[in-house]
Amino acid sequence: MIRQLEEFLYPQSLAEAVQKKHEYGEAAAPIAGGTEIIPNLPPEIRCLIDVTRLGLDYIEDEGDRLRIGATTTMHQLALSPAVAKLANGVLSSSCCQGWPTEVRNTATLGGNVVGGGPFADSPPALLALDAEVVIARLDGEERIPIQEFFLDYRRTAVGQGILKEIQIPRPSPQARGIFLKFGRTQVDQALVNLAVTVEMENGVCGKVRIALGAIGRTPQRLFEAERALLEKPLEADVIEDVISIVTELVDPVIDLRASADYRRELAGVLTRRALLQIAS
Amino acid sequence: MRIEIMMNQQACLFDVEVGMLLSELLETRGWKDQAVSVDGRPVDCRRMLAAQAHGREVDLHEAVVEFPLEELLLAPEHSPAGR
Repeated sequence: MIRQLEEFLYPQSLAEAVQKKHEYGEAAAPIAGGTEIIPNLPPEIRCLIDVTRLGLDYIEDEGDRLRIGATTTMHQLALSPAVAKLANGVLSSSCCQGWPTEVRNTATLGGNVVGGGPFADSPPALLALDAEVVIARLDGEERIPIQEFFLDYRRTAVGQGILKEIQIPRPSPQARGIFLKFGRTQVDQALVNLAVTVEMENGVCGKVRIALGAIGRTPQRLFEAERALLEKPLEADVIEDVISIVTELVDPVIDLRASADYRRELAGVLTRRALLQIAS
Repeated sequence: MRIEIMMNQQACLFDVEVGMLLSELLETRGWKDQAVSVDGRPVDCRRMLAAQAHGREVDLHEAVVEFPLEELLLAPEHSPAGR
């Protein structure tokens, strides 16, 4: 029983949901699957707004980009052929590693993103894919690049709006990607998770994205490490240079699961595995 | 609040508290330790509010058989010490 809750609303439209969120302010939160918010319900929340009946569970291929509704479940994403085509299925992988079936059936991409948890699996994949979030507000829609969305631990730029969808620009056919997660057990949250995408051009790296989760207060891109790969071949000495940059750049959190040193080492190990797999 | 659920293909009305979990609602009706699906998909009813199930089809899948392993192991005829 969650005793702090006083109201549960079923809006009939996204506009009504946004209006209710605005009326209740910090005391209200949208709920979809609930797997993220129910165990982590902030103490100020008194009202939940059900957004699962607003038709936001879609995956639409628009040619140059994919639009994914906020209440699309991890199960839908993991099975979607369109999502699987994005850079070797980097997002699909992030949606099915270590999620029990019961959770995957209800957990939504929007919840995983808006929760703002640094340990979430989909944000590094979305960072590596240059995704944009679309937020419905009273005065219209706002688009925010995902690297500007995560502000601090469990704090995002969604504010008084409601996440409507996530848009992913289609990567070039040459783009290769990989998502890796390392946790204590198969279903535990990540000690470190990582998504990498690389577009190879004439044997050298073109566009590169390296994103890490579960290591800082927010999921983060490692821009310096990305620059170190630009216009270079994916060879052993280049990869080792990148790994030394990664281990220097990260400032890991410490919790009951792992020390900072362990997470730093793990970030390097996962980066090496990811780049070697992309190179092969 | 009042919610309506199609429970095992029967329309049911429940008066629930807003913060009641779906697992708690099922337990009050004597439905414990059962696999639960909502709209045909297995869910974790301990991470879902009863209010979320309003208007949905909830199906309970009873365990195949009760198997009191502990009682069997403690029974004297099965004890290696011959109690």
